[in-house]
Formats: sequence, C-alpha cells, structure tokens
Amino acid sequence: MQNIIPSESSVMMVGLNHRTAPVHLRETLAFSDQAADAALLTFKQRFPSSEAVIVSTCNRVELYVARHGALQPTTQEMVEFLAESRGVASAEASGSIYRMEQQAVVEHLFAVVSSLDSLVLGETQILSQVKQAYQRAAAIDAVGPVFHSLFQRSFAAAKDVHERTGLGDGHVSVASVGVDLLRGVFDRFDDKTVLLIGAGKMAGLMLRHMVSLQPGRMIVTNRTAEKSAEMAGRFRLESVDFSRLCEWLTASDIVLTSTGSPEPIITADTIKQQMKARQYRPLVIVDIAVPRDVDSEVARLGNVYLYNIDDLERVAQNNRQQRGAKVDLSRGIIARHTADFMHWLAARNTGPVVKALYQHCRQISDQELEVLMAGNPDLTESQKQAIRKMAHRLVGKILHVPVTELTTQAAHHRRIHLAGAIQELFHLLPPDSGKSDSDQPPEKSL
Amino acid sequence: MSNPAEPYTHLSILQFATALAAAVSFLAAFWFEFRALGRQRSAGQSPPVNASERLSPALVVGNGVFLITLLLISRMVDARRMTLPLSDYFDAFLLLALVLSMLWGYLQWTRHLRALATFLLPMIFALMVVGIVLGLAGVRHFGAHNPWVAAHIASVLLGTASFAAGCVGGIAYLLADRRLKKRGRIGWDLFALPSLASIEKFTRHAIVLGFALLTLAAITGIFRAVRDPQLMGQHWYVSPKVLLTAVVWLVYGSLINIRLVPVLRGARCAWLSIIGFMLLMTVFVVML
Repeated sequence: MQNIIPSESSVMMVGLNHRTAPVHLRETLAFSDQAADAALLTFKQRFPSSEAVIVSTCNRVELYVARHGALQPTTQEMVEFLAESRGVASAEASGSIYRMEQQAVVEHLFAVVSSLDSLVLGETQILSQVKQAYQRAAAIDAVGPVFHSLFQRSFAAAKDVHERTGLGDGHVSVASVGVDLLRGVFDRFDDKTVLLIGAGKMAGLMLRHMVSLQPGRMIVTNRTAEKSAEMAGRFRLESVDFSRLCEWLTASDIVLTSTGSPEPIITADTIKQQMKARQYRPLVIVDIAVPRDVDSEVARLGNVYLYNIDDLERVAQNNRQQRGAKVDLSRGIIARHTADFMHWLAARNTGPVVKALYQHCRQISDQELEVLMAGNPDLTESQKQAIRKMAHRLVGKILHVPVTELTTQAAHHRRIHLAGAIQELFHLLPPDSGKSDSDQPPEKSL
Repeated sequence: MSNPAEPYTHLSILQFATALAAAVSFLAAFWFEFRALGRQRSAGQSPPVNASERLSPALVVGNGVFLITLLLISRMVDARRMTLPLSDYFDAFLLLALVLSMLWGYLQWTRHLRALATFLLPMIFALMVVGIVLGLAGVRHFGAHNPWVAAHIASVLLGTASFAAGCVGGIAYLLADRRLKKRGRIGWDLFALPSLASIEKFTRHAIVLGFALLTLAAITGIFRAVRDPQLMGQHWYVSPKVLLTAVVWLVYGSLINIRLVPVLRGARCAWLSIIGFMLLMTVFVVML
C-alpha cells in the first residue's frame, strides 16, 4: 500500500541578537544583501527540500528554515552553516546563538516583526527589514508555501499589534521628541524660520530631524563665525551675524540653541521684547545646551514654548514607559496569531490523509446510493435528492470527530501515529486518484 | 421674541424620553471617542484607528441625530406647520444640537481635527440637557411665524452653534497649550490633540461665521424693536439683553480683529472664545 502520510513540515531557527552576542560577533556574522543571497543559494543546494530566509540587521542575524519531511538540516547543522558562511568557527559563535523549533520559532518571528524583540521597543524599521529579507529569499526561490504563509502572517500580526496597541506611538529618541513637540504647535513648516544658535553635536542630530519638516528658512549663528559657516555648509543653512541675534529671534519661529556658554544667552526680558515685535506669534525654543542657554523664566511667557534637554528626555522616557506597558497586550495578540499559524501548519500536514479519508467514505456512500436507486425505480427526483443529501451528511458527521482529533493534535508523533492508523484501517489510496473535485469534503465538515 | 397668541406646543412624556435618549447617545459617543483617542498619544499624529473604533461613535451619534430628527418632525406635527419648529427653547436647543452634530460628522472625517470632534460631543450633550430642562419648565415661547422673527431666531441659533464650536476650540486650545507648556510633566497626556495652529484656525473660522450671524441677528432684532416699540419698550437699547448682546458682539469683534490686538493671541484668545460663549448663554438666561 502506497504511503500517503505527508512529509511533515517543521520550522526551525538559529540566530543571535543584541542580547546574546557582543557587537563584534554580530558584525562578523552579519550578511550583506549579496552575501545573504549567495548563502541562501548554497543552502538550497545542500538541503534542496528546505525553505530558508536570512534576516540580518545591525542587531540580529537569524536563519529561518522550514524542513519538509527530511531529518536534515538539524539546528546544529544550521549553526555550522551560519558560522561557515561568514568564516567564523562554529564553536566561537555557538555560545551566543539561540536555537528554536516549531511554535517557538513562529512566536519569536512574530515578536521580532512586531518589534517586541527590538533594542528600541515599538520601532517600525524591523518590519521593512524582515519584509526585504523575505522578498529577497522569495526572489531566488528559497521560500516555499510554509514560509510564504509564515512571513505574510508575521506582517499581518505586526500590523495587528501596532493598530490595536499603538505600540509605536510617541517617539522615544530625544531628537524626534523635539520634532514631535514642534508638530504640537505648528501645522505647517514651509512658512517657518528655524534659527540654530551654536554648533554642538546634538544640534546636528536634531537639525537632521528638523530638515525632514522642510521649514521655509533655516539660519545658523554662532559667536565664532567660522563654526557657523562650517555648520551652514554641512546642513545647507544660511549663516548670519551673531551680533544681530535679537533680530533673528524676531524673525524666527523655532529656535534651537546649543552653545557652550556658561551663562544663559537668552533671557526672559529679551524674549518678552521680541514677542511684542513678532506680534505674539508662537515661538518654540529647544535648548539642548548644558549648561542651559535660555533662562527658565522664558517658559512662563505666553505663546513661548521652551524645552530643555531634560524635558525632551522626560517625554521620551514617558513614551518608552507607555510602550513597555503595551508589551503584555502585544504578546497576547501574537499568541493568537501563532496559534492560527500552528493550526494551519497542522492542517496542511494532515491534509492529504483527511482528503483521502473523505474521498474513500464518499465513494462507498455513492456506490450504496446507486444500488439503492437501482432497486427503487419508483423514487421521485426529490426523494432521490433527499436521500443523497442524507448520505452526505451522514459521512460528514461520522468523520467529523476523528478528523478534528487528527488535525488538532499538537504533538507531531501523535499526529503521524493517528494518520498512519487511519490509512491502514481504511486502506486509503492517495487522494484524487481518478476522482473528481466533488469528492473533496465540504468545508463545514472539517 | 415672545408672542402669547402663538399656539403653544407642550413637551410630552414621549418627547422628553426621546430627547433624553438622544442626549445620552451623545454622551456615550463621547466615551467611545475618548477611549479611541487615548491610543493616539502624540500631538499631530493620527495613527490608523480600526473600523470598529470609528463605527461605534458614528453609530451612536447617528442614533442621537435620528432621535432629534424624529423629535423635530413630531414638533412640526404638533405645531401643524411644515416648517422647522421654532416654538420655544426646546426646539431651539434641538436645532443647535443637530447643527453641531453635523459639524461633528464633518470633523470626524478630517485627519487633523478629529480630536476636536470628540470635544463637541459633551457640548452637544450639555445643550440637549439645557433644552430639555427649559422644555420641561415650559418657558419662553417664540413667535416665529413672522419672517423677521424667523430670520432673527435662525441667525441667533446658527450663530450660537458657531460660537459653541469656537468655545470647544478654545477649550481644546487651552488643554493643548497646557500640555505643551508642562513638557511631559502632566499625567493627563492621554489623547492626541491637533496642533495649536490648527485649533486656532478652527476657532477663528467658527468665530468669524458666528460674528457675521450675530451681527445679522442684532440687525434684525434692532429692526423689530424700532418697528414695534411695544415689543421691548421705548428704552429697549438699555435692556439687559441688548447690553449683554453688545458686550458679546464686542468680545467676538475683538477676536476676529486679532491682528489689531495681537496681545490677545493664543491662550487669551481661547479664554475669550469661552467667555464669549458663556456671555451668550447668559443672554439666553436673561431672556427667560
């Protein structure tokens, strides 16, 4: 008798991340796009019946494999392959590498894509990185039905997590929080002027974020004209004379200060006068200098919004805490998506047996119906139809419990055992051997 | 505005219950919206809100609007007229709630002002409650059969709706301003609000429209008072209603000319839009 029990698909993963491996090891094991493609092609040659995806970012390197029936590769072989691909001794990397199988892999991937496993909780960059890794692998045929389903479900899970929990809401870096606060005051920036006072390192970082707002004008001033010119050149700003600071304050809507001055260079009196001159239009001052460049009394003035580095850090910290509070809810959503995938995988693995079982029972039912119809020529068409329906329902109801038992078995060996028993007891042949599609079981019976 | 000869339409128990149900609908919608907005913590950001979160308040507000429409039709039948019923304060506040519900519907589908729509709901609820109380008390009967009176009342009502929206804008502005000033130190940073500039723009538009309608109401009112000296007496121009209305008109007049009085920009403007609306409500009280 031909064996129709399918080759069971299983998913495995080996990898390391920012928690398990030092940065030098992550750097050594990281794959460029080309290196990942080459490694996947080699992997496919070595294990032709497997599916594989390599996810490589600055914080993690992970090799995902779906194995169909074969006993290879094992996780140890995957670790060796990973190390060998990057020219590292597997013994050296082994201590930092985690290994996962089946449900743990699915749960892990969903958490990674949802950014629950990221260095910055809730960041969305990882989603596009995993998407790219999956698309690259798909382009070179390293991905099959199991990984198509797994990765697409992981993107859906991430979307679900972010939509339901708002995990990515609120920025967590000081620079982006500064930009968020600006968005709280202004609705457009193309008519706004940004004034940068000083040329500190942090100012450069914040300026990069501000450039993304596309303000109408960006000017820089500094006590040392050369430094101001250097900053202007680097960020394509307009360098202006520091001695006319009050004029620039009047003209500006956003002021970013980052000087090394030991005393405040902007006092409440200065701003009070400038506010009158600027007809009380809102003014946002972001003071990231330490010691502070702007007198704290300025914050008391109407229509002036003053933020120093501690304020920005506090908001970022609040956002981080809010994200942290959403982890449990996110894990619950991921657990549901994981269960759905595992159910799909189990159904896929036992599908041929279920199909053959239904086909077999329907065949018997149809034969008996033919005998019955031949022996009772007086039956009307509606009576015949009713008897056919009853026979089909009977088959569906009888098979419902054993099929449910088979498809919901979580343990792999138990599922194989049950599938084997069903095949042997019913003398099942491979499905669709000479039968039409109508032999397939109805959805509701499953 | 009163005319004792007008057949008076009493508020029935069924009308009272329907109005109460409509008011509760707006309160329930506020609760749904507030919960949904709790997920949008960053100012200026509007992350996608799922369909059920959008649908729930929309359905509840829709229910309120449906009930108000039913009520207005029943009042129309009661008054035996095929025009909008403007018999008394109850009708007037129903119409106010209906106009503000329409504004809610408009704001609901704008990206940056959605949070303002949420703030409109308690305002609609409050106006409904005031309408119900005054309806039960059976106070003040308008004589809306006269075209001048009808024009006067219509402009008063639409102007009041605009100023109510302006008041909501003012409240939202003060909350947003306080949050931005406190720099992450406050615990009620629970919902996303539009940027100060967006709120200010919304408030300004509401006030400009309200001011135009209030001016029209004042002109029609003065015309009636001059034409019919019996109505408000010879010294109508020193009556509390007229004096208070003049103050309201001046307050809003200064707000729409903010360029001439720049010192009123920002939080002061927001406070004045709230105070202006409170004064306007006082005019209604004086008219009782």
